[in-house]
Amino acid sequence: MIFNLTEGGSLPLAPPGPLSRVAAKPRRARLLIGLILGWMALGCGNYSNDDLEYMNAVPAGNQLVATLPAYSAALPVASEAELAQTTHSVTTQFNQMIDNTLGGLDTIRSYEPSSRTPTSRTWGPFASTNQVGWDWRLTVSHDDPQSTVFSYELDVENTADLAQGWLTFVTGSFDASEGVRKGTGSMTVTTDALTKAGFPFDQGTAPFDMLTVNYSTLSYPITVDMTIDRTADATNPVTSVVYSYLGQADASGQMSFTLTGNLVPGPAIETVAVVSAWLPTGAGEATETVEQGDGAGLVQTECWDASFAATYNSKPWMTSENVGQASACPSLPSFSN
Amino acid sequence: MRAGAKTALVFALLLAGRWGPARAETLHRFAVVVGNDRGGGDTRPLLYAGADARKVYDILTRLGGVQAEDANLIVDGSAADLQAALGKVERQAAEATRRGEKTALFFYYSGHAKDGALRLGDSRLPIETLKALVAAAPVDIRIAILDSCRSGAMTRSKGARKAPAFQIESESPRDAKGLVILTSSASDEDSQESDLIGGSYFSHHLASGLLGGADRSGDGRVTLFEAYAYAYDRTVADTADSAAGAQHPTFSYDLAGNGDLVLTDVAARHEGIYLPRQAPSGVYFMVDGQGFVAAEINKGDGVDRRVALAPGRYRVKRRLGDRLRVGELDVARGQLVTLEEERLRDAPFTDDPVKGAARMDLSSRWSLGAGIGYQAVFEAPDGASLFPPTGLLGIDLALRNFLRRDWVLGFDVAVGSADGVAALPTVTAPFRFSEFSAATSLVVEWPGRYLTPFVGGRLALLLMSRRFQDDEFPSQFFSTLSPGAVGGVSYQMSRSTSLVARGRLHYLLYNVDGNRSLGYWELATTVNYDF
Repeated sequence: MIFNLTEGGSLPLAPPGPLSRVAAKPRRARLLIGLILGWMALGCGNYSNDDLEYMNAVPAGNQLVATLPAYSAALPVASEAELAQTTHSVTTQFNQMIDNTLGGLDTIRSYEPSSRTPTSRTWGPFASTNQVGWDWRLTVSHDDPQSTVFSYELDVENTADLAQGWLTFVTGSFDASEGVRKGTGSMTVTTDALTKAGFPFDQGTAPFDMLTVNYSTLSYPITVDMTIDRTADATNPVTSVVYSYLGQADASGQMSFTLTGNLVPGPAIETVAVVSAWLPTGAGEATETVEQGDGAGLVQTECWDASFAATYNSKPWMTSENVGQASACPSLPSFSN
Repeated sequence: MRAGAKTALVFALLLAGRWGPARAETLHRFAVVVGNDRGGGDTRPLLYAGADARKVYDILTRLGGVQAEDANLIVDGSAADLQAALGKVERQAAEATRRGEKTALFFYYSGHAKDGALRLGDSRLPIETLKALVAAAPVDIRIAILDSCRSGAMTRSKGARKAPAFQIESESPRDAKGLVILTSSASDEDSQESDLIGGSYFSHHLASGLLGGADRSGDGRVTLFEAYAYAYDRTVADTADSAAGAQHPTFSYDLAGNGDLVLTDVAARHEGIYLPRQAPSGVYFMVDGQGFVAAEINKGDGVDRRVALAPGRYRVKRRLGDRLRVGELDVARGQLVTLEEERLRDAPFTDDPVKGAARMDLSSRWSLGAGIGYQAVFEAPDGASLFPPTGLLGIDLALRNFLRRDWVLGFDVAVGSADGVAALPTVTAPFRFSEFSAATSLVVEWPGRYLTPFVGGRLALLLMSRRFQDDEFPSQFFSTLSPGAVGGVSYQMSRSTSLVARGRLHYLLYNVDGNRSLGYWELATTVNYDF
């Protein structure tokens, strides 16, 4: 269904690799031991309470992923309800985007900050393992000690062209008012400056122009809104994708997905929206609406049971695929926060 | 000096007239008393040199007619300190001489001597230089007593039977004048210390003699010759069976004139313990409140002895073939207490007060201890969110009396663990805290019979880490050197076992989030075993 934005690759945030080792001469070894002892004596380590707060400001990918009951082993995927398949596909894409976007940032939790100031922590610069010749660094700031809001910024630099300076890749903020991973945050990824600077994206070109994520983990339902803006090309007509996920503690949830672009050949720009909701059992209901462009006004509604087999399908433009009655649809709770 | 020397000494006594107390009253006495346990890197520290010096100083100022302003006590000082003290005495003596007073200098040294020089810590004073200094002192009589190994070298050519080779004074027809040198051992002998008596043999017996044990004449005054004869007899007797061999003090005199010299007047103060004529003969040990043998008096049949001890409580012991006779006496100020035999009781040898626990503490030895402790930072709750209160298990290793007497060089390691919570404005993160410490300490202790307080400094290497329950946060560690102070008290439970309670105050350099250094305290108790 649709297209796969995840093929664009992950952000260049691989952690620093192991230090190269050489056989130290005994004299150097003694010097090294002496330096280590001296270092230890003067106080050293990563023992810090403040670091915890800075680390907490960076969102963890597993906080924001969408949770959808897995496929039933008893039902071949090919027999899955059409919009259930769409929901699974979209959820998978959504989670991959979250992972690719936040996974690198999340990595820094495993490392001691490289430098500290009273109002910031910086990890890096580190050499990117995927983009040779580029360094990256992440700075988390907490400018107002009375505030619970932390901001962060991921920058990259071309080591072969230092005159360009550091280029902002990711910016974000997090209000950690409710403790560990409890709060609201936002993050923006922009590729324009990097593209102009010749940043070597994994697939050669940037997968999007801008990606924006807004999320809240304060209470259930967890909400994650993701907007992707991109420039259509010959292989992909999509110009905008909007995901909106709400997840409950019991694994029920809702995924809204809006796609805009010239999806049907012709002059019109189509907007297709899919709203899918499911119960903890997996049973769910989805509605696909062509909001504008060719086919505007068409609406498909489909329901499925816990094995994802269709129990009801209303597809006005393909009535031969209609099955069941609307009464077979599950009773879904309201997903509002 | 051997038996022949003693004969010569008696002969000398017969020849010399008595320099009686009336004249002693007109003699202005000065004293320089020096003790140093340390003799430099190539010598092992002594244990009692300083204590011997203090004892002699006390006797001279209390019984020997030396006024406090004329007495100089130098413990653990340098050669320069010694020379400065002699210089000061010279100036004082010169003034006294100008006033028409007779003067005497009493010089005493207890410590190391090696290669022809006194060793005072890391400094040295050649014996020849000391001779010259004493010789140059503008006094009428000079008495030098050296309690050090091979100190007999100072009198090697000046045995009592020989003509003095170190004569510096012109003769006087009436009064005693000149130079007297007493040394604790011959020129080829070591001078020995004893844990049992808490001092060197020679100084111990010299002091006992000056306290009254040497008053052979029974007139209440101890003369130079009496003191030497007593110290000689007792030192030779005590060391005859020692591993190092018998130690023979030497005596050299050049007293011109007709006077013997009264060193102490044990009758004047009318204070101490009196052993009446009818008291059984034998050796009486008088042990003070600190467990030290204050005096060891060899009393003969049908003679009495005044022992001019300072006020205080004393345990008195006399050893018989199958048991001890022990008792306690309180000596009040200005009171001479008669020791009547009825005041002593029979006691087994295991109750020997001279072999008390305190006495056993005086040799260099190792001890090993194990115990538990509790540690907490002062700056709660912020500090506790970093370093929570922690229980500790520790092992201590201590070396006593090695660097110097009553100094304890310690090494200890400890481990501990506790649960804590990093309660921060935006994060609440429970964690498991672990700590390892390795430290060295140097403390000074004041041994008592049962309780030994101590205080000193400590330097600890701290290795601390914590692991969070939330795996999202990485483990953290911190290491630093932490200086601090330690104090406490040790209770001697048995001869080899003690229970120690101690407290520590430490500075903790913490600089990860900027300089937020803090302090912590620690209480611990250990059971120690002395090897």
